[in-house]
Amino acid sequence: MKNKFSFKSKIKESVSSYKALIGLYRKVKIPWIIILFVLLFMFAVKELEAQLVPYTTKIMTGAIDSHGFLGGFVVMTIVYGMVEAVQGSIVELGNAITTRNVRRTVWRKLIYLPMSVFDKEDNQSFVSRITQDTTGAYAAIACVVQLLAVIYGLYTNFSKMLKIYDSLAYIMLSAIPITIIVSIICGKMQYKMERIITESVSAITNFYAERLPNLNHIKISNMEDEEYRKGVEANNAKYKADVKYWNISILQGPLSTFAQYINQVILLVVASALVRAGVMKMTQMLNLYNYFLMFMGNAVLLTSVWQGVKTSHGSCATIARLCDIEDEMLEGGTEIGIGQKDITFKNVSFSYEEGVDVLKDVSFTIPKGKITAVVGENGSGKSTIIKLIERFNTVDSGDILIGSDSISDVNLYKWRSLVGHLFQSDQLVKGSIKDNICYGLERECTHEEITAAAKLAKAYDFIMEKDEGFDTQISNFNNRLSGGEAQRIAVARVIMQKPEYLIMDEATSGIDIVNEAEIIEALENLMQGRTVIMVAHDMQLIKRADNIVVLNGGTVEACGDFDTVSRESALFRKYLSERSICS
Amino acid sequence: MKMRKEKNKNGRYGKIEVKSGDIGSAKIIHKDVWKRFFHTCKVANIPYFTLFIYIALSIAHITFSVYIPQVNADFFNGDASVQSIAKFFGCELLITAIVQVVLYANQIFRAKTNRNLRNVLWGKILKVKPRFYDKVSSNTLLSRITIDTESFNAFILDILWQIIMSVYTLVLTLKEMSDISLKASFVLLIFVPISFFMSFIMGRLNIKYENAVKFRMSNLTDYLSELVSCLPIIKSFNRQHYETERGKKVIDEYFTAQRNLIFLDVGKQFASIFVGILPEIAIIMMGVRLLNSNSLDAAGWYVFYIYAGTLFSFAAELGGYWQSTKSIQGQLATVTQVLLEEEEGIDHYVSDIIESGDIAFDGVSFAYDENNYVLNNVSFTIAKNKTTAIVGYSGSGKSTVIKLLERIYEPSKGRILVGGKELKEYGLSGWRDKIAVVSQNSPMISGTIKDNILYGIKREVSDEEIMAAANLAYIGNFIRKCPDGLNQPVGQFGSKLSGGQRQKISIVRAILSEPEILILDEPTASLDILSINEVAEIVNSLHGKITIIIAAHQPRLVKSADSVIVINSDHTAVQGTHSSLLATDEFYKKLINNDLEVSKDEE
Repeated sequence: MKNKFSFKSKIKESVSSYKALIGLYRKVKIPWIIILFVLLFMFAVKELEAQLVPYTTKIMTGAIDSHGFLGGFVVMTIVYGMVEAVQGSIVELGNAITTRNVRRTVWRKLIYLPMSVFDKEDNQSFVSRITQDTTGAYAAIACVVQLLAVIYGLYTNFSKMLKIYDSLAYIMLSAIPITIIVSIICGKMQYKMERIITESVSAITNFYAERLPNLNHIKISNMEDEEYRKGVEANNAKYKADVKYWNISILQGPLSTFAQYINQVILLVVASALVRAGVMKMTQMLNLYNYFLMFMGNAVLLTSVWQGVKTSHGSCATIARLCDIEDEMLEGGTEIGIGQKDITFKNVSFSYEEGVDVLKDVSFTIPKGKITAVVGENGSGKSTIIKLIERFNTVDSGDILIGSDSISDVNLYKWRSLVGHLFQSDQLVKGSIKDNICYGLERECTHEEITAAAKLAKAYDFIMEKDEGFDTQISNFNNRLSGGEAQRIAVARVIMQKPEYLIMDEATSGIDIVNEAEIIEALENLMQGRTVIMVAHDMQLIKRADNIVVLNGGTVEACGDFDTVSRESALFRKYLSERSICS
Repeated sequence: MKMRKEKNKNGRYGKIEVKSGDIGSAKIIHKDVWKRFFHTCKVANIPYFTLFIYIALSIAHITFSVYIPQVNADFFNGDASVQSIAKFFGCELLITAIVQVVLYANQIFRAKTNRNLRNVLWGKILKVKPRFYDKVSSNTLLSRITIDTESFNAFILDILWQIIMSVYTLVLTLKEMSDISLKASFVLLIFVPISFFMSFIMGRLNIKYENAVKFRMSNLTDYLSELVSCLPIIKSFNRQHYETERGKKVIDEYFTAQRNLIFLDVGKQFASIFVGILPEIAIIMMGVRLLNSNSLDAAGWYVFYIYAGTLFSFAAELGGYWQSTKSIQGQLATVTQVLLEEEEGIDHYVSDIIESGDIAFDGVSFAYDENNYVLNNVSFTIAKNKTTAIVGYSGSGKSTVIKLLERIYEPSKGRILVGGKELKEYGLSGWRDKIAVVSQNSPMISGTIKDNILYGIKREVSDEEIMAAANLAYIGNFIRKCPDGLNQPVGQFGSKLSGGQRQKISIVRAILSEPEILILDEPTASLDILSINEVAEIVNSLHGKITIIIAAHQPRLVKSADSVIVINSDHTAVQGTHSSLLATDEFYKKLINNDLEVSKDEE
């Protein structure tokens, strides 16, 4: 219950999510020195910017003839350009380092999280959490740095204006609140606009995502014309959303322009009056004007600061919460003694979602040293039993005992090293065949050992047929191996592991009937002398079990040997009769 | 074992073949890139009217902005009169307004172009011969439609049009400058190629490093998604630490590539600062001379200076266009390729009336590429209104036979005859109307259960009739139990239904489409034992009424067939009845006996 992860508690979300974001920054190593440099260079840029103004004014007025102008201008331009280039690069570098560090942290977390976190979301969606979401992490840090630099810039520009004509400079301060108000209004509009676009993009993506894999279905059903019409509709909907976006945007333009110009008008009207009255020199007015343009630039930047925090908050919300979940407790707990023990389910209940029980008050025993088969229809809770034994999930109520110890008290690391697991699919780990067979072994293993395991698993022959033999690179994503071949490599891996307990989850599903005999032989080699828990549809395997547990809708319908179960369970009898019809 | 060896070899050579084919086609892509690209421009249905409006507006914009420095020059040269200030602001406001309007027209054009190209592309995707999707997975086309299509408008506006605009601006600016000082303009002209080449070379360098970053990024994504797919194994084998380190290594590799790009960027910027300052010095030195010789006043100088700036920035932009063109062509590569692909159903058909009769495969071979035959000279007959089963190793060509029947593929050699006439002589949609397919993965599309049941059925069907068919397919009870009954949404890809439910809904659809030929491709793949039995009963109830073709290795389904075709692992085929094959065919014996063994034990 405690470690159940909910993506939906929306009410407390906003408060707690900012906390989580700060928590994330605490966990990640942030390159403070780089950030300090960023700050220093930003100050330098603002300072140099101000220094360049007299030169700009001179160029504008044609006063380029004066002594030392050209030299000064060239030096200043080069220095300014270089400092700005370096500043930009350090910002990028800080971004890259922070992102890398966040990625490292999230990746590590992902590996150590309890499996129950992945019940609700597809594993693959976590890939973009690492590759995409993390890129937003730096924005909040960057904008704090930028805030300091902008304040410094505003101060520099303001003090320069103050020197030229103080009362006018004070009036110009009003540009800050005006800019902020306008940008808040524009931000609201922007949010609305973004929503329109995001929704339309996801609508069109969903439309095509569903049609493209079903192209043959469309063709065979002669539905090309109909689907073309729907596609045109979907494209039109996207077009209308785009137009709507730009319709709002055209309102946004004049608003921000107005904010920019109002102070500019005041400045120039007043200053030109002063020039005409002879109080101010023309160059002073132009300097004032140039400083003011920079001042406005900084004021606009000021409003984008909050945007940065929002970016980080938005993109990192999920990873921040992920990082808040406790790791699995691998160490600690009671040491499990030597020798196999009975595994006992005592009144176990479990549900993935509130109200939908998967297991209801389930009790049975998996006797040590014997083969136990768990039988039932799809969705009857078979795989859940395996997940509970593997400790990917935790019981809601009741207990699972290993010998006399509660499973949750047993040292997790040790428990998993004692349990071997044959999965239904996605069996392979990226690497060579040899890496896969030796996976999980802490000791060095000899070639003879690997060969022997491969032979027992009936995998040796096909491995040797590969060009690179045991060094052939494999993974779940490249299908250089057939389902049966992958399965046999997994069997070899478990043989190497020498586990005391063995879990087999539909170990023969998805395998050609012709290969099945070989796999079953390999499995028999594997099951020798181990406590075996298997989920199976396959009668050949079920018949080999010493003990059968029949699950029906989350409860145990019958439990015992083949005869007992055939006597007591109507469901099991139905299975048997279906089978005999076949012959 | 020997057989398997052969198969593996074939498989391996096949892979290599495909790879070299890929490289070959990549070369072709490179070669014909412009031709293909113009073809796309031709068929993309560009909204020319909107484009015309945009062009008119932006010419007005450019022409106007060229004269702005002259209007403002007085103001910057000490004319603080009310008139000069008003002119200054008038210009600024006017230009802002024009920019807004131009931007709007620009964006509307983009949105329209995207829409039109998407329409064209989607229409094409629907018509392309399905063989094409063996080479390009249809899933990868998603981003082609949603994302890549958007770079086409960028080619028109950001490259083609921008080049024209840049040249136009350059000419206008040069004209204005030469009015001020002809000689000075010529001197400055020397620097234009320098700044052009500078940006050209920088762009090339950048592409190399950017590609490294992109490569590392895709590496990172691939690597992590592979590792994430086996998280339970990682945990089960206590390999958390090891995998953390492996992931970290890939994350760091990406960082290194990124860092190199950043460093390159600094170098680039430094270089452009030093190169950029040269014309600046030249302008000022010339300005000093002109001012001293009194051939230029301060206002003239200001205008001249601003023009020179425009000149160089446009020259630099021109240098960058080549790179952007290449990158857009890269993004559009698949789109342009799809648009050139052959369409199906455009061949001239001899006959629209489809004879009903036996279907005969006459020496049919099929290969995905040369030397890699999936079917090798197979001949068999699927008798009208009889049930025919197709069995074989996975990968032996069972599905290919079915795809040939659906006319998703065409035979590489040999003929398929229906009622004595070649299948390809019949109209495609007429043929497909006659067949119904229940396939392994039972495809579904968002909508209601009813939408999916009636998908592709063009006649009016009453709810009663649907429910009658649903009862036949053992799904009636489930539909009645749904809160919305037939109008229950099925979710994306039918994700709210189980595999078995989807399978049965496909069966309902097949029943309602009243086919002459029913094709079942591994119809029990996602069913448990109880449901397999139900499917077998449905098949039995249709037995003798229509032609049924089943690809399966469930003995239960196979045994009740009138005729069985075994596809061997060497891609040849044998046809017989259950009893004749049991006596003569090793594979078939194995297939049936594997199951019999269990049943015997039970007795």
